[in-house]
Amino acid sequence: MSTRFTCDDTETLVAYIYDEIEPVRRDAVARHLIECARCRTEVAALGGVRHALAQWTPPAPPLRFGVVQTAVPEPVADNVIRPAVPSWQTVPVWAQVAAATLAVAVSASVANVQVRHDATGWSVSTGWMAPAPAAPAGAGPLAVDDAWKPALAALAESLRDELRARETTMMRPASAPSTPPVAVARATSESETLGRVRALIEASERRQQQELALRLTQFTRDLDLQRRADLVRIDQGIGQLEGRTGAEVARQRQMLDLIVRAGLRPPQ
Amino acid sequence: MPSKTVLGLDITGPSAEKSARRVHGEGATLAVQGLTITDEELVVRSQDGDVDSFNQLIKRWERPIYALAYRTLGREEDARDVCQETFFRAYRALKGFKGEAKFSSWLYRIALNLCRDWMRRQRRTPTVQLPEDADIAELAAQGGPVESIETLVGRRELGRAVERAMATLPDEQRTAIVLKEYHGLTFQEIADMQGCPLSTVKTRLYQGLSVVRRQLEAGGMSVADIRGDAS
Repeated sequence: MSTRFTCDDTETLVAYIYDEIEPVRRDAVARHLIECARCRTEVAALGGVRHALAQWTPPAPPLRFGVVQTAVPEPVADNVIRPAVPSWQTVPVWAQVAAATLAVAVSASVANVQVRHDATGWSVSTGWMAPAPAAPAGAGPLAVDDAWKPALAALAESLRDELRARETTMMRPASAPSTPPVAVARATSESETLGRVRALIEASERRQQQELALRLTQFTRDLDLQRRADLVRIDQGIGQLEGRTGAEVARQRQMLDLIVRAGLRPPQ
Repeated sequence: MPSKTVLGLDITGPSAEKSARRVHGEGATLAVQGLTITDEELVVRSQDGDVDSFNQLIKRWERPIYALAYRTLGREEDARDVCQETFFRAYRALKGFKGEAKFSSWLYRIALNLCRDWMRRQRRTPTVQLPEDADIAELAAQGGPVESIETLVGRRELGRAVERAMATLPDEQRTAIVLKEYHGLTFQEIADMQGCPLSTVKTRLYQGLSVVRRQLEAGGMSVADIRGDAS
């Protein structure tokens, strides 16, 4: 180990500052400090920093932590902190099993699960995997199920007619004599609705304009009142000031008169 | 799983004083003897299930651990939470403590790990809590009878400047300074705690102190004269 200390040996310098250094090295640093002003300044500055650090004191709130046995049930303070427990962990096991069973049953019914056992063995199918088996021909339910088809076709035809009529109305002038009655009625209805909407908007705008005018009037009146009140106050203030100034001037005049008179009086 | 069933404990704060007093009351004789009981003896008793002994350890170390957490994190609430969590974890892991290191070092290590996790989670540098303007009455109450108000205010200002300067340091440098300056750990203990060579600890200390010096000087303080001003 070298007994000489060099200026760039910051590790040894730190060890010296904290007095955690072998005596031989400490002596070497001490000898160096006598000769080297720069290191002397450095050591003094770092010592000053250490003193400054000592002035940083943390706050001292009441802590008083403690381990409390909770074997005996008793009311617990509000600020007792416990690890967060997921809510599902507080549900009893039997309730979790029941919920799971219910979920499986509902899923199976929705998915139309069918379990069969035949000569080929067990088979499981769902309503999503294969179409439902065809019912026997001529059965009653089938006739009932098929009744919606003609109704659907009629509805589709009616919708097509309406669409065609609408296209025709749009292509011809509204006043054309050949306009179908349905289209005319719809156009009338739309124009009425538009008229009503316009009327509502106009009424709303009128109300807003009236309200705005009312507010503006109130604002102008308030402003005017405030201005008058301010003017009165200013006037009063100026009057008081003038009064005070006048009184002061009068007093000074009296003083001046007294001085003049005293100066003119012959000495006795 | 709830702490009640697994650990049978709650680490409580001051407002649970009633409950805490119940435990501390039984340990009155222990407190009398506590003058001579070492940390290691209290640890052994705690490992045997003596809750009072662990409470004695908490009483001894809660303030230093809180100070360590505060100086590392810079926030009172966070420091308080870390302090509480430190003792909670220490109690849980007490059976595994073999006594190879000092109990205090073990606690410091837990607290520092928590601080590191805390800062990583919050993704922030330590904040500087600027207290309210200096209250002269409060300052006067804090200080000794011989200190003038000017000295007290000066100390408070210096403390704030130091806090701000420390907040600018990298984590490793700040932790090294805190452990060395405020907790008196040796270079080797800090090296063990930070998991780095001894020389690295010294370098971190030197660099950290130099940065604090520059910050203070930038704030118009003559660092070399602080010794005379502050004392």
